[in-house]
Amino acid sequence: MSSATGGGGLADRRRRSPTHARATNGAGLRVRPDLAAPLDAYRAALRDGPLDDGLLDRCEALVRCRIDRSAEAGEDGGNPRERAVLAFADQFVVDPHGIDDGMRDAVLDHCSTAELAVLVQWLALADGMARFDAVLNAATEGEA
Amino acid sequence: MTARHPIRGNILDELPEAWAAFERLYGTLWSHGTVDHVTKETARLRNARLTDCGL
Repeated sequence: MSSATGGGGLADRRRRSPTHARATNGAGLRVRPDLAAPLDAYRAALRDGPLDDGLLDRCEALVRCRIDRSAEAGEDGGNPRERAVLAFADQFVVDPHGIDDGMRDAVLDHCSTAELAVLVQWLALADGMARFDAVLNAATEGEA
Repeated sequence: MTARHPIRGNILDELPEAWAAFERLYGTLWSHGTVDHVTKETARLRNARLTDCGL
């Protein structure tokens, strides 16, 4: 994970591309730098899992787009597997209770249980960090 | 509706390395920092209740 501070106004963050989504985890780490190493290790462990980095990046960008517009959501998935995963990700960030057996099965039609395990942890991490940064960046901007 | 893909056991057991890494992150968050444990636990319980989390 980048150690970039993620500064700049909301308009700047809105203009960032999906590839910059990972560089915005800065606000939280400014107040808790001791979290950087275990956070990096957790992200690395998930990236070492069975889901490919490209799909993980797209999911994270989607989460960032929904929460604070710091990334572009990108196009809908290009194949049934991507579409199922991205639909799952979209519902996860909007309201995880809206993920029913049918939506879960749609993912498992194309992914293994291990891939689903990585997906839900990755989404939880991205969602948490995006909300973390949204709150702390907003507070920082209010002080400026 | 019955799930077409039943999942047996804890799905997080599928990736023990990731779970161990999460526990290290969570442990650091919980054990260090300036917020006292009572406040952290109160916030955790409230969040769990609001999100209907059984943990």
